[in-house]
Amino acid sequence: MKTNKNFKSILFAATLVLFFGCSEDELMEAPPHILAPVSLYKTLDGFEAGMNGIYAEWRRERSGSDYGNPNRYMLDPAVVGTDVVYANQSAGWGNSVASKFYNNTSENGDTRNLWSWLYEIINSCNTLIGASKTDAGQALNEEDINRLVAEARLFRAWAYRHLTYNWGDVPLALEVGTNGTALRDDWTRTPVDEVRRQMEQDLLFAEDNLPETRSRPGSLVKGVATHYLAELYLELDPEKAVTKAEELINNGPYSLITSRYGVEANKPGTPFTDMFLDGNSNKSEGNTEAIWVMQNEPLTLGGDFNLMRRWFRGQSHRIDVDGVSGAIIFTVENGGRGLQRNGPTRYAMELYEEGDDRGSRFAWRDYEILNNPEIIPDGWELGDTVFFDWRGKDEELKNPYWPSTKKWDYADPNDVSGTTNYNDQVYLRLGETYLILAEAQLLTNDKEGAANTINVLRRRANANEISASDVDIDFILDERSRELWSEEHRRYSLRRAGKWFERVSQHNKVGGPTATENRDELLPIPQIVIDVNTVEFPQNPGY
Amino acid sequence: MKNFCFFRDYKSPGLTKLLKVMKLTVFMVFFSVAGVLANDSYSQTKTLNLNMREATVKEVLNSIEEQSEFYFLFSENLVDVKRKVNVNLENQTIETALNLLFEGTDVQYSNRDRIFVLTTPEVSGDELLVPQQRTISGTVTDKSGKPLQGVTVVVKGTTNGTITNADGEFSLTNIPDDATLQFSFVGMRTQEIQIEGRTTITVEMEEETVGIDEVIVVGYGSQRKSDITGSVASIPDNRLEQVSNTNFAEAIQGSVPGVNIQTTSSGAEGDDINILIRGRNSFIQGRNTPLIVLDGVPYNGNLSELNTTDIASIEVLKDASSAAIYGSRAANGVILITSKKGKQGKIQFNYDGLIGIETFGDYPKPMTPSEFYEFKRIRDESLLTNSEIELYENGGGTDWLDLATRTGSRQHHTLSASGGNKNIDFYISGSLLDVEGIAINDQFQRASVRINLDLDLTDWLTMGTNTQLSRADRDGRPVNFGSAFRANPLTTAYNEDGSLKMDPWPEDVQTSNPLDPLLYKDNYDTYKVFTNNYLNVQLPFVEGLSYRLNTGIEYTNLNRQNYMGRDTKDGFRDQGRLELTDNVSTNYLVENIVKYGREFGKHTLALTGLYSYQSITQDVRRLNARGFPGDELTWYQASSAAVIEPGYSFSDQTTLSNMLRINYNYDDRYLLTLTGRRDGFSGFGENQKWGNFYSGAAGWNAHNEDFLKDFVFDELKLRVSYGLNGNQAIGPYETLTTLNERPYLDGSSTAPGFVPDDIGNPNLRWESTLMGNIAIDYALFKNRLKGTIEYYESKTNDLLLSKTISPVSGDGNNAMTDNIGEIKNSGIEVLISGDIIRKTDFKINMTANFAYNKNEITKLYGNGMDDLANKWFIGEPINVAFDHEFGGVFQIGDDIENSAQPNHEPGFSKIVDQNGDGVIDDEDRTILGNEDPFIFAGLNFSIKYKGISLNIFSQGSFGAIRENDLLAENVSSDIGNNTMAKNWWTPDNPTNEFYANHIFANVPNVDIYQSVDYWRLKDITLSYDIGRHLGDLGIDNLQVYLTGRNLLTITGYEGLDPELRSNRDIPLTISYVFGLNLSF
Repeated sequence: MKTNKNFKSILFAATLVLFFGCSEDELMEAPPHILAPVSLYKTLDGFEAGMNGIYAEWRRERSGSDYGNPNRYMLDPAVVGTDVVYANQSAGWGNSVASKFYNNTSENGDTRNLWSWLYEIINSCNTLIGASKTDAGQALNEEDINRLVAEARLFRAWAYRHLTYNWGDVPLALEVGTNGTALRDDWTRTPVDEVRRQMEQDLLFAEDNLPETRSRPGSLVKGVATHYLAELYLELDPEKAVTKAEELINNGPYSLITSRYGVEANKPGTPFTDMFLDGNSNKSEGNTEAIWVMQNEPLTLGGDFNLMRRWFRGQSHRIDVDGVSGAIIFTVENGGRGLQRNGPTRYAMELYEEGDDRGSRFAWRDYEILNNPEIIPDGWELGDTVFFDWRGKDEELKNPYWPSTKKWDYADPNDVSGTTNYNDQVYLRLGETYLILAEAQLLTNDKEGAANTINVLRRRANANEISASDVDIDFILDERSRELWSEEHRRYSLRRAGKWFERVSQHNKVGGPTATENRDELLPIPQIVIDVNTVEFPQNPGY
Repeated sequence: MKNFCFFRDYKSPGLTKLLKVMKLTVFMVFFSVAGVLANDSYSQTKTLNLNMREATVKEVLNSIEEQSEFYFLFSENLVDVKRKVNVNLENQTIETALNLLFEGTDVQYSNRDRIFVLTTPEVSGDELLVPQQRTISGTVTDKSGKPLQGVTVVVKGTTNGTITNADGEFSLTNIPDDATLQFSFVGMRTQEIQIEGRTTITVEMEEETVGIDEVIVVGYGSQRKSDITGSVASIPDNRLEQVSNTNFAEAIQGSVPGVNIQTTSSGAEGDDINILIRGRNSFIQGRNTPLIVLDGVPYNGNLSELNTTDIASIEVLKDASSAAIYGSRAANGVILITSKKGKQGKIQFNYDGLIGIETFGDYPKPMTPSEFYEFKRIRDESLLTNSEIELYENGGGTDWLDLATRTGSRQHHTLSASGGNKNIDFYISGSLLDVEGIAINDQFQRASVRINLDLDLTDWLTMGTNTQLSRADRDGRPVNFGSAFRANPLTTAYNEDGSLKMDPWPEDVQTSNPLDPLLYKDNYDTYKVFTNNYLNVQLPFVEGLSYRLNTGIEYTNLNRQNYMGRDTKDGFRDQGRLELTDNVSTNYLVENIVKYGREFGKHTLALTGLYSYQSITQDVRRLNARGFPGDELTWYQASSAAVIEPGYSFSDQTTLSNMLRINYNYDDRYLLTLTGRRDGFSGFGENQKWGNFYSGAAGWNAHNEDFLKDFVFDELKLRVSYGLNGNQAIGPYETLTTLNERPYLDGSSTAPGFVPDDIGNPNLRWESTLMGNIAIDYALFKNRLKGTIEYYESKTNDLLLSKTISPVSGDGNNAMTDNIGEIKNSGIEVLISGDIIRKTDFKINMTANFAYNKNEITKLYGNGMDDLANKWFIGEPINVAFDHEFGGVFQIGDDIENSAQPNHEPGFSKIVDQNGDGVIDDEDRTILGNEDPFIFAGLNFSIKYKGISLNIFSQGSFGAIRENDLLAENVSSDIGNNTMAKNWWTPDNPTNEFYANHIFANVPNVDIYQSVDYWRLKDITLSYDIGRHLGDLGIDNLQVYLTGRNLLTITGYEGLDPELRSNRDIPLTISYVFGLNLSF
């Protein structure tokens, strides 16, 4: 019996050991739920998803640098702290890039976010472009893959446009940054000219390979490439700028809005302001002028939002009527709730002559309408209008009684006090192409042509026509403000003209006096970029 | 009757004592003993060889002890051991040997086990002429009241003594009135009792809690404490019993040196706790935590989901040698938790219960409505809104923190039954914990059941289970404390009808009500099964060889439903919002363990071999939805949402391990432990799956050396260890390059989108820590003074650093994990425990521990450069405060224009221009101090008089500073946030303490740092043993106690609490508890 017992115990133990043995293959990771670049860029749908991601990133320009949080206008310094836009609030980024330039330092987190975001987009583009060269990419229909690469190269050029205008010389990254074993930490600043040559190549490729029109709203089309090429040639070769701009104006599928259309065609208004109404942005909605339209959608995954109204509309909730507050409440009709982080300088408002649609009360709100039946101050009635007394005054900080643009009006009927916009918005339009053409004509000494080009816009806006003798670079900058206030990346226009410091210190009464020449026209290189680089990475002058 | 007298009362070789300890010790797996135990006729079969001439009897006895396990007790006064004899024996039994040795004398002997007591017939009392002598009798019991047989009772200073019988009774005659009796029993603390004229006496013996022969768990088995070569600290019993711990980490805090436990946020559950053993070995936050092993299974759950009253012991493995058996997860130390077992004997029922109140002390309060009004008026009057002015003028306003807090409560009840017979031991318990925190709606409930069984199925097969089933209930969202601290006081919380206001501040509809979460519908339950099951097989043919199959399963299901209706801010914005979470995690362990243990004369060898597999998975299914037709159906209406966002996250990790441990012991004097472990981990990079770890340790029990035998030391042990351990430090998939979801639109519908996110690294592997440890364990004056002194040094290489990478690389986080960097830790740990008074009815003990740890970065990226972005500096600790230094305030008359801040005005903050270049920039940041404390200490004082005992425990840490963000304004641009009142600068108050109340007064934003040193009276417990008065009611023990926790904190820190991470969080809970322990 003893042997039997021994046998049993051995058999027992051996069975257990065999039963619970296992293989070393267990250590190889095969996550079933994570997409890696190699697994995404295999099919057309995968490439499209990669492309959609880049579009979603581009949209963050107007949704905020904290993803999902409308508190930071990603491209604020491109717009505010200029001759025509000042920071009405002394908070946030505006404090250092608009109100008090001496506070602007390389440690600013917003500046770092802006830089990182642009290079993330570049890396996304590079990843897609790199994937197009793999077997999977080459196996796709040639037209599809060329179109996708064209979109990616256009976005890459778009990102370098922001980088070069904000920082000057920047590292030119064209390779995929996803191999952790071969990460670069020895970046150098590529001269702007060289970066622009690359942008030119990218945009030319995009122009050749993008269709002229596409059914999906907001998609990149050939016209976007042509427009940006025209702008780029202002720096590189103004003759070509003339050619490109004329090509787009004369042969492209776009035309200026010169008559009333769309959702409020029967209400009082102007053709110019119709373009900015919710429901009038896309080509399918009748907008013939828009070249590129930014898409948002409420209550939809992927719909995201933008913060433009929050940033530009006046603070109606701070308006007291004869010392009584609360007489104005947020409604869809009055454009919703604004913080007016950014407002027009006195100079910008005084640029408009009498009768110019672009300076009219359809374009600007220098009043509020009493709309709260609960609170009606003595001597007033519901529906009365309160006009602000702003004429002849300089812009100043935290002034709620100041004009604000109506271009970004929008309120969600379900949440009239909500912080975010969900309307589609014009991002690039032919009106600006006209101004690029005019600038190119001036640079090629065709003042006559420039005046004619500008007059097309002025006629549309019911402004007086000008003559060749009126045209100089300052006039063009003024005209850009009249036409494109808060739409254009104003800092870039000023820098291109070499006029940033001069015009900011003259016309911006809040921030201007704090600006330093040869320093503040560029942003500081984010400190992190310098700190982690193993070779010297020079800071911009003065920082 | 006979009087037994003897001369060696306590210092017996370990094995003998071990045999007795085993009866006392709850569980004991030191397998080397197994073979010995099986042989119950040792004295009949053991043969002796003696060949000695002209040797004393003592020498002969020593010789017998040396070649056998026999042990002799005798008194030199009664037995003439100096007598010279000649002995020549071959292969004779002990009986023969002793008969020969004492032939012709009146020496008699008796034996129990291997212990021989040598005696002579009763000594006549007439020889000692002492007046007033009497007979004294009595009973000796253990703590639970059971009679103890074999306790030695000696009249102090004489040779008069006896041993208790089977009923624990003894009787001594001819005792002087002023005599002192000494009671001693192996494994129990020796007691001295003065007779003071009594004739009967009852003595309760207590187990020697930190005795050198205590058996403690060391991972994959247990060992006698005297055999341990590594650094293993046991948590004292008094930290586990009669303390209202919600989780086991609270029991460890301050009680053993070298383990730093920091409660980072307070609250009902209170499990937001950082555990750091011997300093920071890793840069990665949250990856410095030790491995926690519960009943042999690595525990993957929440600290608070384990019932504390079921815990029998906690051991902390601190050095390379003791922890090395856990290889790639050992570098941060290991905490071993063992649950209670049954023991043979009658069934014992136990009730442990406590009820208490939870309250809070003084905390920094934001400004009152009128103070805030004044603050805002001075800062920017134009921003005062009408509603604020109106409230101010009517004397209204809200104390938000008052609305957010309450007096909480706590109760914890455990009922258990334990016992066993020859074939089965069991411990079964049911427990309920219910805590209502001091923040409104903050609550935690835990219900658990434990079943621990040990079954002897055959003489070669035993099996058992240690199983806990539990449910944790965290329903309800507490008030938003952060926003209650910040909320504008010139607002109102409630509407006139008593409902909560959605917009407390009418002019700023973005401000939400801090009490808003009270309206959320919230259900949050976690169910957990944690079960360890094992089989032991004694293998035949090779004596001492056994096989163990050890398995573990941990299954946790976390279920959470939340709905925010239109009466809440977010719910209103989203037209109803719901969040559903279903989180299932599993932890599965299989271990094959082979053990071999044998004694060869004075050599003892033990081998442990392991092959183990562990897999941990987590599946999290989420559903977020918004836009509902109504709120009535709460979270049941996902299908009717306008937007539904499902989410699924998943992780799976596997660890494969081989381990071999060798323990060698020569004569209980020289000890050696060698360990090797090989681990494979799925989370490491493709090229680096396996790691090898090893350690060696040696120990010398100097007190067992002959030349020290009669010296003052009861224990004197030197230990040295050295070895390499690892830290997995990374989770699954961290080595892979991944994509981030960025959906876009196709018209008005969703289009999937992705962008590159983290940049992966296929070469990632474990961090390795090389640690050396040298220690002395000591016990003096009959164990009245004892403790440990240790010194260690460790160096961690291949540190996983989240290396900042240039944003130019386009990585979403500007960071990539890589094996770079090197850290050094070194430190001293001291434990000292003294029985100041040790009498039966009166005891005072004081135990103190102290630890010092120096942490230093020795290498970062290999290029000698510091990492400014992460604030890491070579030669400095990992967590330093690197910032501008607040230099006071610019005063009127200061030459501001020529200062480093020429744009400033009087009253503005001044920054110290560290490099004196006249400009304030990033170059002026400096290391202001260490953010981790480097000195820790704990002090326990206990006093026991008859049935009353008082225990006072305090602990503290020193050496750290932290930014006190309450000393900043952070009031937002519209001054919508409240802040603390400060000593603001004004022209009439030209202070340097704080700058002016002015929007630009601190534009460069200089932070103010303060020391977070503290000393805390952690708890005081007063208990009374009622059981002693109850006589024969069948109650073994009845004890009541009162505990106060967190009663007093001494600190210079002016924030919420020096230990808590945030200054705007639930204040530290102070609790007062009444408890009762009953066993019958």
